[in-house]
Amino acid sequence: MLSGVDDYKTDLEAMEKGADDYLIKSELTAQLLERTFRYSLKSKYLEAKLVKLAHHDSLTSLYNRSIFNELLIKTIQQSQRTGQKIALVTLDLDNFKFVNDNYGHPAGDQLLIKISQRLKHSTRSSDFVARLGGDEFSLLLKDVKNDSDFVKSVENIMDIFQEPFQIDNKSVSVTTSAGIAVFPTDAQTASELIDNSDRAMYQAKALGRNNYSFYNQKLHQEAIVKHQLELELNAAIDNNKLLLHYQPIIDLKTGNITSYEALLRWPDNKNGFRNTEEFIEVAEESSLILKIGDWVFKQACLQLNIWSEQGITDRHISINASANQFNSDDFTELVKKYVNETPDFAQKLTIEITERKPLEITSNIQIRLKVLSDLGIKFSVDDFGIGHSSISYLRAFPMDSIKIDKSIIQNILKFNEDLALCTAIIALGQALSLDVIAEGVETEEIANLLNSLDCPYAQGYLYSKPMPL
Amino acid sequence: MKMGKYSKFKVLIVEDDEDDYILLEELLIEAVGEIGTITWAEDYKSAQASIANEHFDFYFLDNRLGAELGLNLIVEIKQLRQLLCYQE
Repeated sequence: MLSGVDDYKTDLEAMEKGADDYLIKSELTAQLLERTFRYSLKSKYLEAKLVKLAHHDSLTSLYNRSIFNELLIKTIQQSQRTGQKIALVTLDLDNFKFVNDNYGHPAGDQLLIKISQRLKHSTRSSDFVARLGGDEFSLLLKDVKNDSDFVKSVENIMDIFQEPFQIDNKSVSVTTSAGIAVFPTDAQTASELIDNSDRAMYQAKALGRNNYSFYNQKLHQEAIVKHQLELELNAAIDNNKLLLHYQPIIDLKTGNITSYEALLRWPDNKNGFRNTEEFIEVAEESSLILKIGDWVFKQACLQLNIWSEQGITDRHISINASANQFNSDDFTELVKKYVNETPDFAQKLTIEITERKPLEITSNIQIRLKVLSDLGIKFSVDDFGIGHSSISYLRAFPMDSIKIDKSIIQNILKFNEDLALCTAIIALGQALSLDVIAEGVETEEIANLLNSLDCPYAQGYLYSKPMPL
Repeated sequence: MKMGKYSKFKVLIVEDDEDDYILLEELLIEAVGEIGTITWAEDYKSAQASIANEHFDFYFLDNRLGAELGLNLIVEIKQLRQLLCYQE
């Protein structure tokens, strides 16, 4: 605080409001200012230390209960604005008393410190970790996309207890029980969330300890099923358990096969296949979709090489890609890799993008498609006629063909509306110089009608169901 | 001239008399050597704006600022600092 006059009352008021010093302008010297700087810095340091002491647990340096509760309230407010879910995880060690009784309290303290360090390591920097007291910890998990991510995070946390802790050259094993409650699914307020997370933790204890439990059992089950599916899918890719089945695409005028659509199959243990849509959805929520993409491209390259060795050079392959795969450069890089490895690959490849989950028309996505299109890769709109993407889609992206959805094709003999729609899409294809492929052709009558409508290509059970080649 | 210790520090001087501001700035540099930045706010309103927009390490507040009192700025600084404390 600077003042022209030496006024005791102002000096006092300035100090009360939080000023570090009160300086009279006419008395200012370099020496005095240097000392003011130094003293002020020292008091600032002490203040910061006090704040840390007030907010942190002195043993583990994690947040303490009071600040954690404040952070929880603030995070909930944030979540209400952004719509992002958060999870409150309550941990209680299962046999901490045993450690204290058998190794002594200093060893117990050491254990708490080591657990804190591992907890900090197993969470992201955006998550909050606190020690609420005794052997009870709380974690606040934020920035989560899917419920199954909560399961992953909690499993990471449980994993840190797998390895014994080294305390005074002794190996000490300890387990924990964890309860998880999710905002806003399980609670509307901070205190409700704390209560429900606690309840879930006691539920985990009742289930036999060394366990975790979600407050919301339905969410728990779904998340676990998804997580399990993800693990199995990952193993299936690694062990080469996935298959590609091929369905031919026929030139309606000549009856010749021009191309094959490669369809992903995952055999179950009962001579059937697992639901493709279901496991693709799980793959898309994780990074597995890229791994699957990699595998599919590898197989397609192998198949093209086989044809090439057999002297078949005019056959093409269509591969399905989802809109999500174009949200980063990873997929385009992957495709480029295979294009570089296999000569002719780009010229013989069509990427089918479903209209069910349309691509967002953004400049980034347009650039990615353009890069691939420049390499010679063709694009096709799959399931055309039932989604929301419509004609703007055809203008925005470098499309080469349209595949009319089977729900329309199968009804063209029955309903005039479907026939009109089909005719219009064929005309649209002609007008925009796009190839048109009718999907789901199952009878000769439908094939004949399509031929008379000048639909150039068809695909369906009439010709062949998807088969291994 | 001393170097280093305060070279990353940000200082705000709130002073409506330009001569006093220049004098203080010179004395400061003489006192502690190189300072990261020294920002000058010449009235109460621009001081409020600087305080809200930026975090400074040191604030020199002249008390008499026209009809306003520099004292009242201390409260605003403290409030903003408290908010920052929660953001690790």
